[in-house]
Formats: sequence, structure tokens, C-alpha cells
Amino acid sequence: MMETLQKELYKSAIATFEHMAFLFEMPEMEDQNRSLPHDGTAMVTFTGPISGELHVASYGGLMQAMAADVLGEETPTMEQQQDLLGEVSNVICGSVLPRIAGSGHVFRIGPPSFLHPSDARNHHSEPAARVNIPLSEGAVEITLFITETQDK
Amino acid sequence: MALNVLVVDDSATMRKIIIKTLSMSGLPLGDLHEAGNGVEGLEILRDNWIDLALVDINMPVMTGEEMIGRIRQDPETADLPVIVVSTESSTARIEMLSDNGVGFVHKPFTPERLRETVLSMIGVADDGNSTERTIQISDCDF
Repeated sequence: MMETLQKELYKSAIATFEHMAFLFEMPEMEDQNRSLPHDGTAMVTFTGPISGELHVASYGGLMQAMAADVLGEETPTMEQQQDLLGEVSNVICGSVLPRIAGSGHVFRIGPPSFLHPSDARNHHSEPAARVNIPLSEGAVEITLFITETQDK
Repeated sequence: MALNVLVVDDSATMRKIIIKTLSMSGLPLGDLHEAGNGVEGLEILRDNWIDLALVDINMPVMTGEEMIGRIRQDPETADLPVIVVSTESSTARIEMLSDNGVGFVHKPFTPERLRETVLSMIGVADDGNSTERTIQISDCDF
């Protein structure tokens, strides 16, 4: 089950970064990226047949590079960077939920919020899935937490 | 034929992404207008000639669905090509939009996918020809 969730999370994340931010996975950079500084994390909550949270953590200046490229701003503001990472988390969440729950369900995704590295939430629950993706401009870690499933 | 496009989304970032993807799609673009919610979108429609609207669903003040309902009720805009650009995944909700003559593009989307949907909504094949069949007189049986 976790393997399936992980696979679907990975596919949703890759598609989102490629189509929205024009960023591609760079597997050869995985070793270099292991010690990159944490820029911050965008988070969305979702409710529906399954409920939980999706976190997208940016490392190594990814969110700044992404905002500069996508928004065409030489020096994007922190607000722009956080906004973009939030939109990325929103889209990944919207993409992965029908993949894991089926397309006939109604989900409600909350507005994104941003967590600075110092505000990182300590989740007591184990993540349902987590993927780490080295990209051409830093790295990203996407974590899916499922807190509730509705009985059929 | 350059398209005047209205992009309605409560996220300024997402509006920029949509506009960037539009510019990469190869579609002929004229004036591009932006709105942060349905109310602003309707004001822009009232004051400008718009050929196509790209609309998010979940917005504050007025949702995309409410805005589309108002567009369809107004004789001036009833036939405006509208495409919802959203993370929405409910097939029932998407079918309701389709019943209202609205196209749908799921985020994330490629420039090619956006182009394909826009062309199908405005009734143009990708080779630039109309998708409406031309009836030759010889086809008719009087």
C-alpha cells in the first residue's frame, strides 16, 4: 500500500514540477543534495473520503529559483516564493488524491500555509508516503499524512 | 485572429503561471486581463471585449461556478468560451460544468493540453480550420 502511495505521490510531484515550474528531476544530483539547507515548507490540508495533510519542503534555494523562473522576477520576494510553493503543494495534492482514492470523490483542499524551518510541525503520525526529489535547482521533499479515512 | 483572454484566479502566482503557459501554447494572443475573483471578472467582461475566459472554481467573494452561471445568464456573454482551470477531480462536478458548455483543464497542465482545449472550445481545429463541417450543395437532397 505504501509503495503505491509513494509511486502516485512521486508521479504527481514530477508532473507538477515539470508542467508548472519547468523543473526536471536530476537523479545524478541526489548525493550532492543530501545536505542542502531547508528553505521552508508549504502545507495544505484536505478532507474527503480520506483526510490529512500534504507538505512540500524546499531545500537548497529551490523556492527562490523556481519563483524567479516561473514569475520572471530577478529577485522574487519571500511572499512570492511562499505563494508559489503553496500553489505547487495545492496542485500536487489535487493531482495525487484522485490517483489514490479514485476520480469519483469530492475532496476539499484548504488554502496553503507556509511553515518556516523553525516552525516545523512535529507530526506524531507516521507519514503515509514521502518522496525526495533532486531537481535542477535544489531539492524537494513531499510528505503525505493521512489522518482519517471514511468508512465505506 | 488574436484572442483577448480573461484569467480569473484568486492566486496572483497561478494567474502568472496560466499566462506564461498560454504564451507558450502557440495560440494567437491579444489583450490579457486578470481578475482575483468572480466579481472582478464580471466587471472586466462588462468593460472589455473578451474572447475566452479561463476560470478557477474555488475563489473568495464569488466562486468560479457562480461567475459562470452569471456569464451564461447574460445574453451578451452567454456564448463566451469558458474553460475551468482547476485541481478539481470530482467527475460529477466536471460533468455539470460540461453540461453548462464549459471546458475543463486539470492542473498541472502543459501548453499543448491548454492549446488543445482552447481550440476545441472556440471551434477551431489545430490546423486552423473550423471544426464545423461545411455542407456542399451537392450533399443536400432537395
